[in-house]
Amino acid sequence: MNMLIKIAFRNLLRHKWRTLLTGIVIAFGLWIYLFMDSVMSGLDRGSIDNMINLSTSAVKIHTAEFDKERESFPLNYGLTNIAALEKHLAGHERVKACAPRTQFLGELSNYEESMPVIGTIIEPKQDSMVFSLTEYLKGNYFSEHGVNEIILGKDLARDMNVAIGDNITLFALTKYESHNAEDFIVIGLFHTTDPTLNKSGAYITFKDANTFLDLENTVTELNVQLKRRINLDDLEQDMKQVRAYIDKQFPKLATYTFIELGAGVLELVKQKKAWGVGMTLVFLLIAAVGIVNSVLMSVYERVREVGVLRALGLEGREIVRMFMLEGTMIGFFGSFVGVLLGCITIFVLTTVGYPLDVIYKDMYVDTAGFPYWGTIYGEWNVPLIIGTFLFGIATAFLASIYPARKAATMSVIQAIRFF
Amino acid sequence: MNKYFSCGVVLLLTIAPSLWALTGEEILNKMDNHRDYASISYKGSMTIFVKEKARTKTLNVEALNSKETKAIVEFTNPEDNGTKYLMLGDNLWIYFPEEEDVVKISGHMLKEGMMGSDVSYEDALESDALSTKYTISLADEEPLNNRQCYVIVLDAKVKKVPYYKRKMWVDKETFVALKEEMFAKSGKLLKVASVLETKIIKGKNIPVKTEMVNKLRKNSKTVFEMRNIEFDKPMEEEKFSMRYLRR
Repeated sequence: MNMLIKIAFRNLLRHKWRTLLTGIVIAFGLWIYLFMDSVMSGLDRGSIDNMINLSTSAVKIHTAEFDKERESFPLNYGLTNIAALEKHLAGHERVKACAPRTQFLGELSNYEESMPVIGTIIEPKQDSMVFSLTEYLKGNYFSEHGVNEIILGKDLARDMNVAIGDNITLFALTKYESHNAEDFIVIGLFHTTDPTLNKSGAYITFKDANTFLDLENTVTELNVQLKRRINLDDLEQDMKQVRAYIDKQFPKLATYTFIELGAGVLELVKQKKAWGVGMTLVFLLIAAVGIVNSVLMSVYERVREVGVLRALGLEGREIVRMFMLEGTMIGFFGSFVGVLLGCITIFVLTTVGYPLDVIYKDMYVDTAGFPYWGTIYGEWNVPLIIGTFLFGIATAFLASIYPARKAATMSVIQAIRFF
Repeated sequence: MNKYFSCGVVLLLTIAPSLWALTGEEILNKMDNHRDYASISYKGSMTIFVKEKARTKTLNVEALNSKETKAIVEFTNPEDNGTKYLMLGDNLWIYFPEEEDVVKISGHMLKEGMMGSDVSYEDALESDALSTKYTISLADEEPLNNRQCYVIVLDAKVKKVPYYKRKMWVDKETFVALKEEMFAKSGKLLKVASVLETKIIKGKNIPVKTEMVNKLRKNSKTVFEMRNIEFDKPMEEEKFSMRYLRR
């Protein structure tokens, strides 16, 4: 056996270019696959991150009463224990920051026409620690001493025919369900990856809402941002842990994680992954055909050599083993290089990212039903990397069976006379 | 003697108008006297004007004026045919025939425009206990559309009111509120309701055509008309039930 390994290895070295080319084919295929998987996972993850960073947050806490009527955004079921909640959350190692928010339904009017809006009341400094609205903002963010300032979605502002610096009337019901309308000055416009937010989102501060909506600092939701995790599965685990941590101390509150809030998106991502597995199988089948072809070529190139080996006394079984060893060695070499390149690429993707906006300029990618732009960060998928490596070797091994048998069944004279 | 008599006459003439004049609350009570009927039924139409477009919805209304107002409204126009409203006091349910489902309208939804109109469910449901929520004062007396009117102002004395301020022009003779302006907490004018036509039916002066203008939108108003009005028609209590609503 050792002798066969030595012969197989020497054969590979003798045919350096052929070995190199076959190995490169395998390596290139596996590298592209790992790269694409990381980018696609990164795109899905990017969409999920955008939702978390713009509207849902990782964990959201309401009162149980609010939860029952949350679709109508009631203002009379505020959290009463914000300070205690924040203090408790600060004690969890995965919690990055918390921010209070209160949402309300309203109408924006320019006295020509009116549009329904979902208003969000924020505490500007705290909010920017949890949400990334400022990253999508043109104009100004809320100032410390500003009065009746409003930030609108770009599409909403276009529909209402207002620009930065213009006044607009916001109509809504106060906490006591009394009608109120007030003039606000548009200080900024945002164009986020969430089309609904762009079309109907309006932000004001708690300071202004206390007067406008008789709000009395009512906070209907506390949003929790968690420290970044490269892998979505790890983030989901963190969310579950933080919810359990809150439930233990505040069992009467209604706590939701993105797993529930973004269930639809997560389901879509899972379906896409299942579809991706099917696509992968097709892709790998094509790669396997390439490997078979490559090894078969090497057999035909060396038919005369096989004849000589048979004439020297090598049995058919040994010829089969030798060719299979060669194929497996090429597979090992190609898989190793491919996975190594894949790992380097994934490392760059997870740390530096893939600047989609620079490459595609003003275009954006639509993934999981949500447009995405900015920088995509890849994801590590260790089981997939190991699986890909083993697949490369196994495919090369299996692909070499047929050509090896072909070589072994040739008669000595037929092989020597073969051109 | 003459001196005292003269002083008495002057004093009487000075204070008499204030003795005879009605207070805002009394005017409001007199307005309510129009509602001294046991039941009312009518056919109605609601025309919603948005910009240059108009949509008309027709409806049949039957209402019992008991301790708690009970009303059943059935829409008859083709798009909404079979849609029914059941109002019991401050509660409202809507039956959607296509879905065969009943939805309770509560909270924020009560403030929405009824069937896309400028009249909110809350405007339609509002009970008469205005004096418990508002300080009512007689602000002025002035003519409106050639009718002499009392101008009464309602200022909210509690926070839980639909409008912080309301101003009504009440016909001095018929005690029909010919016009009402509704203001936001900020003082902005939100809606103006006007009576376009009244009719005397069984001795009662009834506004049969009214208009509600939304001041936040240009060219947005709803005109409501009542026909075939009948008072005190015998009605079965059972009609005002969830069972009937689903029928």
